[in-house]
This record gives sequence, C-alpha cells and structure tokens, in this order.
Amino acid sequence: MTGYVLQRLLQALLVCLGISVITFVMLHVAGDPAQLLVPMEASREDVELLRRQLGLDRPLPVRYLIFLGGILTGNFGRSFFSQDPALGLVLDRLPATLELALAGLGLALVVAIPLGSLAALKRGTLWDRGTTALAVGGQAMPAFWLGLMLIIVFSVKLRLLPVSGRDSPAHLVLPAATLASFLLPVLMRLTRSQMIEILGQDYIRTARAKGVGMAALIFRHALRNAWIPIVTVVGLQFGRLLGGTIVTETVFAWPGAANLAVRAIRNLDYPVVQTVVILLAFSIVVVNLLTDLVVARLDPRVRLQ
Amino acid sequence: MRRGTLNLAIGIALALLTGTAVAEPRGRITVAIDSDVQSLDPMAVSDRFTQAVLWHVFDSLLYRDPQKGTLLPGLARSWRAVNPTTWELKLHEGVRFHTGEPASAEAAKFSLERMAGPKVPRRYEVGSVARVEVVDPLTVRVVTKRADPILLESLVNVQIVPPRYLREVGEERFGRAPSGTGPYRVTEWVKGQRLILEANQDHWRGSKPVPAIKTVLLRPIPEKATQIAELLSGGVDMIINVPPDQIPVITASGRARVTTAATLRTSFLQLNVSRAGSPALQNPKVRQAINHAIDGDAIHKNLMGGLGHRTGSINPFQFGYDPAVRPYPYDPARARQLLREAGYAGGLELRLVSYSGTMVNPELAAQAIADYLTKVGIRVKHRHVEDLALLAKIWLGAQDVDLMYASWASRGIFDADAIMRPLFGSGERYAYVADPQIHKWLDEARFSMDAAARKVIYSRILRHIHDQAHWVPLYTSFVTYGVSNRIHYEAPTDENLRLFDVTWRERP
Repeated sequence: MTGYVLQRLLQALLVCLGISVITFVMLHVAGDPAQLLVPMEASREDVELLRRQLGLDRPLPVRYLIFLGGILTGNFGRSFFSQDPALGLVLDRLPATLELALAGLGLALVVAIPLGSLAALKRGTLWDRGTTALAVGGQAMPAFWLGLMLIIVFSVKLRLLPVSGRDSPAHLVLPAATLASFLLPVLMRLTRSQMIEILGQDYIRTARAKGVGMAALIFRHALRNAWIPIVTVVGLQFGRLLGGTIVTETVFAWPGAANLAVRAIRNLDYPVVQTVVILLAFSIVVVNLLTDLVVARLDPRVRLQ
Repeated sequence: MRRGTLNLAIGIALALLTGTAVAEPRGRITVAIDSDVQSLDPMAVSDRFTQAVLWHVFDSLLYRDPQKGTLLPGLARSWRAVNPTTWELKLHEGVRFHTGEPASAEAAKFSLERMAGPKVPRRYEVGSVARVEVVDPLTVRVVTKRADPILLESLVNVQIVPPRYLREVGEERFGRAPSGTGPYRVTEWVKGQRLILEANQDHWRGSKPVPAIKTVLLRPIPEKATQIAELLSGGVDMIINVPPDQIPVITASGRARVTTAATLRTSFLQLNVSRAGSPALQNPKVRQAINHAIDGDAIHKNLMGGLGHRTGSINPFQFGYDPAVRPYPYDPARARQLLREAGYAGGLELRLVSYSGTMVNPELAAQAIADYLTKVGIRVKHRHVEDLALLAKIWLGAQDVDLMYASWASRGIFDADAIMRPLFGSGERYAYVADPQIHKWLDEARFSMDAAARKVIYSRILRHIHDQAHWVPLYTSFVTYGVSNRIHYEAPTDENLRLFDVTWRERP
C-alpha cells in the first residue's frame, strides 16, 4: 500500500515535470513578456535592459534549467508584473479557489444524488423527465451566461444576494451554484443510471422480500453501491471543476488562483503562470490518487498493488 | 490676557479660513477596477491605470489641470528656466509625507534619481535628465543633457517618494505600504480583493482639492457585465470605460449616470510604409487613395457617437496641433483614380490588424475601414486580435501587417512630441514610417526651448505627413465613467482617475 502510494506520487512528479516543459515552451512561443512589461513609450534599449534583468536574453533550455533548479529549492521566482514571489501569490489565492471548488462540488452532490435517485425510483414519470430535462439543459448552458443570469435575477432584480466578491458566506452562493452546473448534469445522470441498475439487482429484491423499509433500502443497500462510480467520476471530473473556476472566478470577481492565472497569462507573467499550472497539475494528480484510495476503501473487490 | 485674545482671534480667523471653506471628508464609495493595481511603488509601475491610482497617494513636482490639461503647481510652487538646460523649481514649505518626513528638495532629487534606475519601467520620463542639484532645502535644479521643452510635462508623471522611509522599510515593503504626500493614504491592500484609501486629514492642499470622500474602496472586477450589475445594484459607485452599447442600460436604470470626456488618446490607421509591408504602400498615390477612400466622418459619427474630435493629424489638445491640416475628404472616385495612376487598376490586397484595447468599438471600426477600402478596389484581409502578447508580436515585429487600426494615449503629455516621436521617430518600436526628413524635424522640435519655433516645426511635420499620406488620422477617443447617483464626478481629459474630485450628491 505504502509502496503503491509512493509509486503514484513519483508518477505525479514526472507528470508535473512534463507539464512544466510544455507550459514553458508554450509561453515562450506566445511572445516576449519584456515588450508587454514596459509602456509603449519605452525605447528598444529599455526593453533590452529589462530582458536582461529578467534573464530573458538567455537561451530557452538554460532558462528552463534555472527555473527547474529554483523549484527544487522551493523558489518559483518572482512575478514579472508585481515583483512578488510567485509561490506566495498563488498560495494566497489557493484557499479561495479550494473553497469555491468544494462548495461547487458539495452543492452538485447534494442536488444530484437525491434528484438522480428520485428519477430512478420514479422512472418514466414526470419527475424522471423533469430531472432529465434539467440535466440536459444544465449541460447545454454555458456557465458564463448562467453566472450572469443568476446575477441579474438574484442580485440586480430580487436583491437577495451580492453580485461579486468574497466578503461573506452569502457571496459564495451564486459562484458555487454556477460552478456546480459543471458537474451537476453528469452526476445526476450517473446516479440515475446506477440506481436503476442497482434497484434491479437480486440482493435488492431479496431485501425487499425480507421487508426492509424503503429508506433503509435506498440508503443502506442501493446508494452504498452507487457511491463507487460516483466517487470515481468526481475524481476524474476534478480537473473539469478547476477549469470551471476560471469562468466562475472571472464572472464573480472571486479572488482565487484561476483569476490570478488569467491575468498572468495575459501579461505573459511566466513565473506566476508556471507556478499556478504546476500546483494545479499536482493537485489534480493527488486528487486522482486519493480517489483510487477511497474507491479501494469503498469497494472491497479493488486491491491496490 | 491681550495675547490670549489675540491668539483666540487668530484661531477663529484660521478656523473661518480653513474650517468653513473645506468640509470634512465623509462616507465611503466603492470603485470597480478592471484588474488589481500592479504595485504601490511608483517606480515599480508600468501599468497606466496603476499610475493614475498612485496620484491619490503621491504628488509630483507639477500637476495637470484635469479639464484644460495646463500645468499647475504640484509640490513645486514655482519654476523657471535658468538656462536652456537647467530648470529651477521652488517647493512648497511645510509639506510632509504621511510618515512625517518633510517633502524636501532632497526627496525630489532622490525620487528623480531613483526614477532613472535600470529596473524602472518608465525611466524614459527622466531620460533627458543629466543630474539633479539641491540648491537649498526647498530649491531643486534639474539639469538636462540637451534643452528639453517637455521636461515639465514629464515631471507630472514622476511621483515624489520619501527617501528616509524607503531606506528604512526597503523597496519590497514600500511597494505594499507606501507613504506619499497625496490627499489619500493607503490603509489596506489585500491583493486581488481590495485597496482601501483614506482621506489624508493633514493634506497640504495644493492643486489637488481636499477630498470629499473619506474612504475609497477599489475592487478588481475583471468582467464588465459584472461591473455594470454591481453599479445597478448599488454595490459599486463608479465603473470606468463603459462599453457604448451599455450606456443606455445605465442611463435607463435611474440609479446611475454616465459621464464622458474627450481624451488625449487618438485613433488612426497606421500604414506599414517602411517595415516590410506591401510594396504598394511605398507609393504615395496608394496611401493618398487609402486616405480618400475612408469616410472618417461617418465612422466617427456612427461608431463613436460623435464623441471626441475628428482630426486630420494629432489630438487638438496637444501643443503643435495645426487645425489647417485637415483630413482627406471622402472621395472614392478620386481614390480609384489614384490607384489607377499608381498602376493598381486591377486592385490590390492589404492585411489589416485591429485589437481590443482602450479603444471604443475597435473591431467594428476596423471592419468599416475594410469595407470602405474594398469599395475602391483594395481587398482587405482583416484580423482582429484579443490577445495582447500576440498583438505585441504583430505590431512590434511589423509582421504580416500592412494596416494597423491603433490608438495612442501620449502618456498624458499634451505635446506633439509624445505621439509624433513614437510613431514617426527614428528607431522607435512602433514606427512604421522611416522618413529622414521627419526624423530631422522631430529632433529640432524636441530640443528647442523656443515655443513659437517648435509650433512652426510641428506644423511643417504634420503638413509633410499629410501630403505624403503616411497615415490615416481619424478621431480622438473619449473615456466613459458609469457613476452612481450618490456621487458627482466629471470625467477628466487625460484618462487619469481623480477620486479627490468626487463629491457627494446625497448625504452618505
């Protein structure tokens, strides 16, 4: 077990290394940050001076090795734009993104599982069709548009919730709802199909025959088994959830890491972009690993080698 | 007893002079900003908007009238040219930084020298300065390498920092918790979330008024639609650069209004004459044809709402502007004839690039230009770029581009040099035209202290560029603020935010 975890963590490091090479090259192709960092009035000499200051005059492989050496010693460099240490900038913003991601995930689960189960239990009825329509609609709706609609309805018209920012728990509601829309349709459809399959199984029939009550039947017997694929899918969709934070944080001015990354990419702020990408890649790999561990816990048939 | 009475009388008189004339700052407003400020150290900043925010915290030696653009005293109460390369500036007495340190000639010298440092992105503002001398605690002399007629304009952009405090806390901390002499001081900065400014009760009251607003909260909100929703729901009191199609939404809301002002920014079509553009553009007849083909009046009226000014050269606000240099009249028949004479009767193809920046409706305006050119037989391949990095690559590299729909803000400098030099000067990054005649005249005007002579030279340059049809000047831009009904604010002409000019319409 410990050996398995160590092996997976080593793989995670290799993945991060590969990703760092790709981002490094892609950013280099995107353009010259020195040109963006000086105002338009600056002379060519000023641009050259800045390029030397930032070490951008060195060959690409050398720059990559310096960058890698820095990371190994815990130094992710300084933001070209604000001069702050890149790691500190990203770590400051990460809690906000995690808060949003967890709230979005939690909301998606809390809504998807009961509605999905309901649809399965009342298969073919108006309930079932209603939730399916909701799932399809949710999948088709662009999150950007959904976020703005939520703002217009709940903040501008009804004045129930704040428009944007992160000052109080109320500020979390609309962004979490928007982010949940990324996962909700998938989870709801998955729960429904899983429950339909499980409810047709022999052991459920046996339990029913024994006179087990409806609630116990669903919670103790059916849902327990439905959990396994749901956990797997949540783990796999974690990357998608983080992708969703980009749109959500932008629309709701949520001060998270995705918001920071968007601006850093616009400014070609290499150190910040690199740090965000590496940390996010690492966290996705770790979440996938955790998913595998949890599934092994839930499903006695799975053994980790 | 008599002394006591006298003191009392003086006290009352002072109270009447200051206390009644100036109301205490009160209440709090929230201003939405597109992205967070870069740093709070003026010498670490390249971003134009951050510079404007720092005007609230710092003062420069000189200040600019927000409506007229003329120079006003800043920390310097007077100035004179000792000789063509030496300016002497006398500072106000008793002005102190927020930390108590005096704003002395020493601080001015320190700041100008720090501004010239190799790491400073805007070091060109003091590029002409040879040295700075302290004559006495309130007198400073700025000696330039050559005569510099726009030195004073540049000094408006150089904010004065406290040397002692800066050395004490170090550059990094100064960038987070600065001390200036301005009407506001920084009380809190949570990066990416909020910057809070508090009115400085001990402000020395120079050309900037005493603020009416006690607390200002600047909040980064990247999405314009969200900013508008905040304005309409009362979450923020001011948004900057309202998209023109959203102006009616704000006006109709009954909760906020829109204020606009023509700015120093000028929009034009740049022609890639000298940097590997289409060979056709080397022919003046083709360039003249392009000028005749585009109906600048119509674009100005229909896409810019007639705001800002139509121009045939540079911005009318700038020294050196010559109203006699008019835009080419819209004349498609003449354009077609010129193209025939140039040997392009069968038409030609040009690549046009536009980008999303501080301009209004850039993509639509560029499309309109493309349509006008197509009508006279110039096929246009139009490409609109959103990404700034890609734009820099295209624009600076002059790659794959013959025509660039662009604009220039002249870094707040009301002088022809601030736009003519970057676009037509020798070795400039954004210049698409290399004309030795223009280079020579630009240098003559740049280093002359004779205002009348400079005016004549700029007229000559503008006329020459017009006759050669080196570009297509279009119109000047405008800035639009969405302002809640709680406050009063008039948009200034240089794109710089001035929250100390905001006053209350309602009691907070």
